[in-house]
Amino acid sequence: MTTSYLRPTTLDEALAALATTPTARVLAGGTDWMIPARAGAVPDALINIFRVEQLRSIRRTGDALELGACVTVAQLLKSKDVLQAAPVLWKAADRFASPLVRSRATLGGNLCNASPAADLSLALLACDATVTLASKGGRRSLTVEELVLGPRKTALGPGELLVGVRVPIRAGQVSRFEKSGPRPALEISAAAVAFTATVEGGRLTGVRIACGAVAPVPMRAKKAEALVEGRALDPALIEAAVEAAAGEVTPIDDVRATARYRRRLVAAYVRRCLEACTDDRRLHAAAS
Amino acid sequence: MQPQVEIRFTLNHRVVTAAVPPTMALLELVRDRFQLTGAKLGCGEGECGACALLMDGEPVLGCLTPAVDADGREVLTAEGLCGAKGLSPLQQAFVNEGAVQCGYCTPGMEIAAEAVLLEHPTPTVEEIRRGLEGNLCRCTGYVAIVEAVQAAAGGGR
Ligand SMILES: Cc1cc2nc3c(=O)[nH]c(=O)nc-3n(C[C@H](O)[C@H](O)[C@H](O)COP(=O)(O)OP(=O)(O)OC[C@H]3O[C@@H](n4cnc5c(N)ncnc54)[C@H](O)[C@@H]3O)c2cc1C
Ligand code: FES
Ligand code: FES
Repeated sequence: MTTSYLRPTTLDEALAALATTPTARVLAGGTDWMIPARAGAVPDALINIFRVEQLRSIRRTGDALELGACVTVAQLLKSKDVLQAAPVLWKAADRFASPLVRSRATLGGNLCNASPAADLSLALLACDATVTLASKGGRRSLTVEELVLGPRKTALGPGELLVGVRVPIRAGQVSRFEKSGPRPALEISAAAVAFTATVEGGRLTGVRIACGAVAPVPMRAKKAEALVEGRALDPALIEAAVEAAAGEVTPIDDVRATARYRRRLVAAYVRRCLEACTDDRRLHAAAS
Repeated sequence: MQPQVEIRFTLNHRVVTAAVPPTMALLELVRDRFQLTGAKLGCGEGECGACALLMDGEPVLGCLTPAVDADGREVLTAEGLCGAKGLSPLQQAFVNEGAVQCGYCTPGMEIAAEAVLLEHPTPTVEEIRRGLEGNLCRCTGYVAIVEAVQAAAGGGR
């Protein structure tokens, strides 16, 4: 078997190449792909999209942030627009691996690798992001939940490429990104929580509590969200939401952590996020 | 069989060419084909930073960066940091501050530190520590390494 290798420089070229070889493997930064590839999992064709300029742009329009699929974690961290318009995504980037990984790890790779522990996918889930898939035949738009179907499983069809992500901008949003680990660097999440909400007069609206590494895919704790939506927080309500979230996640035991520990992490993180909303000073820190 | 992809890039200020299979790591290319053995294979999984290289001024993992993606780019190894007069000020600072023990991590540390200095010419301790967070050292306890980067930023004494 011969592997063909292509490095298109424009999106049209990339889509044309994918249309002719729908079984081709797309290569972005390679931080997920290289390990299995070096172990011998070589595809029959490889299309390197990492340097397609059109996929590297960060644009802020009136009501949304538009990010190309090959935007790297390092680019996210350097972007004031990302910090201001999608702070939860910026915080996830800040806790992501190390500078050596951030220079090549991409947004599209994080989504399409479909790991249960994908931190950027988790943050995007918490900000109601949509993704655009393109093929030679056309484009379609999906939510993160519709894209990521299971571990290593996405809704991408043959010949389809993830080209961009759209994050709607919500004014007055507070957010937190909580992730396990004894040190900030190089932690693959044993559990993570991405939280966004708008706080007005002590009440939370538009609450999103996204939990990572505790289910086959990044998931929203919708029962917990519904409990606190539109209500004024008090300690009893926070505890009820914490319990709901810990109850609705479905973690497993693996090399990184036991299911029981993961549930406790989710509980602690959700409590931390909600308590921060009742405390002006911490709220301010979360909003920055 | 994998195809051999022809690439052309700048390696330590010199234009070079190579034919490489798509799954070859950049680390393997610089070590085995160009005998630049500064960068080391530690974990092979992105966790230790011993393999760090600069690519167009950005720090990357030699072990997880496909060699094919070096095409048209500028790659620098720890050897390439040296000037005509020998060690660079940063490298000399590593020596002066006792930031080298066994030396296995050192080329990767220097590359990560160079990237810090490219981004922040006068970095804070926090910026240095964040910049080196992907590089593990089993020997020094890191303090002397951070001091070496500070010393280099302060004029390379
Ligand atoms: C040391 C280390 C630490 C890490 N730490 C973290 C961490 O803290 N948090 C975290 O979430 N992840 C982490 N990762 C995982 C990895 O870095 C991320 O998932 C990264 O975002 C993947 O992006 P990439 O560009 O490198 O993907 P690649 O490896 O290039 O691709 C990954 C997969 O997605 C497909 N793909 C890529 N782009 C597209 C596209 N545009 N359209 C269709 N398919 C596409 C590829 O075909 C491949 O199957 C870590 C990895 C390493 C090695
Ligand atoms: S060998 Fe590349 S990070 Fe360890
Ligand atoms: S000097 Fe020995 S590993 Fe750092």
